[in-house]
Amino acid sequence: MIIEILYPSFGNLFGESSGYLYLERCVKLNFPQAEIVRTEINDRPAFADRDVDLVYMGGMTESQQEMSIAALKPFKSRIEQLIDAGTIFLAFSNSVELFLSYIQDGDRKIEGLGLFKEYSARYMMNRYNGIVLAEFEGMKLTAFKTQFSMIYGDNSSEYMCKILKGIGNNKDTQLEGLRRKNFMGTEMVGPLVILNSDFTVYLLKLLGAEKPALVEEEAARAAYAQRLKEFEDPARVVVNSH
Amino acid sequence: MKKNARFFAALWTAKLAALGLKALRRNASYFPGRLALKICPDFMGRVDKPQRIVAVTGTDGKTTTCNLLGDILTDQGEKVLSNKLGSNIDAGIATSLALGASVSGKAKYKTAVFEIDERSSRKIYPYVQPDYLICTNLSRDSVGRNAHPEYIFNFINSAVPKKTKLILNGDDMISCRLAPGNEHEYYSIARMPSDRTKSDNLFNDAALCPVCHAPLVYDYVRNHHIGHAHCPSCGFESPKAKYTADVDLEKGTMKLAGQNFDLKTDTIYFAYDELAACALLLEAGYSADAISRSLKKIHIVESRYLQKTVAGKTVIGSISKGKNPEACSSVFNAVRSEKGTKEVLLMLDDKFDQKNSVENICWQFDADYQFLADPSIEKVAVVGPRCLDVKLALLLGGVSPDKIVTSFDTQKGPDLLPLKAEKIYFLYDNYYYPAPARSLYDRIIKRVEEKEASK
Repeated sequence: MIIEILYPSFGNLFGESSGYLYLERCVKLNFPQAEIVRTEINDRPAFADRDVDLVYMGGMTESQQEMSIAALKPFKSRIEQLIDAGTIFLAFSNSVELFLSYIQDGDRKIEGLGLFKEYSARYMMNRYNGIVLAEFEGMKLTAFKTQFSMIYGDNSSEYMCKILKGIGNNKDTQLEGLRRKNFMGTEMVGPLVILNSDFTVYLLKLLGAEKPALVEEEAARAAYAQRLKEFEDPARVVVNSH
Repeated sequence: MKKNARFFAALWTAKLAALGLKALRRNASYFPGRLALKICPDFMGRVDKPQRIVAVTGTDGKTTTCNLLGDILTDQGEKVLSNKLGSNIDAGIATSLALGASVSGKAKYKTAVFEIDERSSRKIYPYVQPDYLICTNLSRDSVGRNAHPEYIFNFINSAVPKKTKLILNGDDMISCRLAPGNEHEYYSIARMPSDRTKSDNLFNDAALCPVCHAPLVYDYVRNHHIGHAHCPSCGFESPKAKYTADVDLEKGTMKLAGQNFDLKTDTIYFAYDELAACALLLEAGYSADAISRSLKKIHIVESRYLQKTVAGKTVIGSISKGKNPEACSSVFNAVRSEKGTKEVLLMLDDKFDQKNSVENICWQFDADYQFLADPSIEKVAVVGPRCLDVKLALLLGGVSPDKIVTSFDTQKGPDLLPLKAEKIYFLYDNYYYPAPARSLYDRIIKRVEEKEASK
């Protein structure tokens, strides 16, 4: 089994510095022989030449988004091939935007990898922040949004989850993220894998674990239960005016 | 810019508003300026300003550096205008300028020291052009407001006036690259025995060369991207500092420009603030001897750092800026580096977010809780609504579960610690000071005293 973390030196904003480490630890707990590959921006990705099982990316700066698009562009057809073959891709926070057709930043149009027809629009002076309660594969995800961009385009046939509280790809939709086979891309941050034990269990099952075990599962589930209670409380608003 | 009728209306309204608020014993540091800007949007450009303006910006250490600068200059006999008691955004600066001017709009002060919020740069610098600007550092801060360091870097970089001389932290691999076209000098703390060659933080926002993106090699690293680095690929390197200090935290001394300075605390982050203030004053022509003499008389303000020894135990209260993983990590690092056994009480949640929503706690997972897994730390108590999330972060950092206690009720904090260790640390978010942090700190002291009396 091969798990590849793309660009961990910078794709680690918004808690993902622990997010990918947690996933690595959970994978190792269930699959001690698993190989973890951390690929930096000037390296050739492992997925280019090998059949990796999971590729993970976290949030990054806007200039790093552009660097990443340029670095991944030569491997576009390979990524497409892996997605079709069922490889797990996790693209959290604004790393999901790399896979879109383009990112509109004022007058600038930044070409994306074009694996999804949707596009994003950046509003650098208008950051959106809010809580998110989402339904994913029968479970409830607790997460947050903190982003400059909104994603536009009809994702009704390939969304990742339905929003129960908060906003989806943009303020006019409750459909969040992008899903194609095991590609899961979302602007949500958490880190999702730490804050949502059932989601991580789901990923481990996709990787082939029969009885998935999680690192610090008891504490993670207790924290989730408390958070869920608060997220479901109607008195708690999505966007704090503070 | 000329003073017109609208300007005078703004000035007098601001002054009256400040008087009214003071009579009501309310904080008058924001609202008068807000009013002035509403009446006259370019008020800051029209009001007379002190002859010399010093500004301090950066993620951490702004307030302490400003306070030190203001106090030293005051001790040197100067009358200093500042915003030290209030807001650091445009309205706060407008308030200070309005109150620092006569009714005819003439400046009453020769020198101003302003703390400037990084995100307010574009609103302030077009009108208030500092002679000197210190940038203490740039690091991850509130994700909701500040996103990431590059975003804030671009805010400041695009707004710094051409005439401003920058005093930059040469050890900060991000902020050292600000405004390269401006005149600037760097300060730096020379290599210390505690420095490492490999970072043990969860992340480093300057891990890659800003020029060629190859991994930077850190000759030594203190915290995150604070250290000395070079790029083996393209030759990019840390700048050479004019003001390099030899710091000895244990002895509490800093040697700079041939002079010994007292350190106000034994923590590296306060040493940087002190160095920044000293470097600016040296650059402005003050003698090292005079600065050193003034510094001896000054204390770090209570809201930032409290320390008391009771019954042989040292009880320390320290600000540990919530939502800011690098600031918290620096404090955690300082705690683990201290000699002796310790207990730690954490109160880091955002009290505003929690009022009617749920705090985005992603930052907690960027904070280096693994530093609190040090064997010298015998107990970690966590209080506040997000205590279970923090407990999870502590466990992931390797803190033993039997060392962690939690409570949703912040008032229970002092009762959660066994108070057996030699040093008791109470780390709180800045918005918890004075209430409830001050009274909780006093309760810890009282409990230590009671425990001693019952022996």
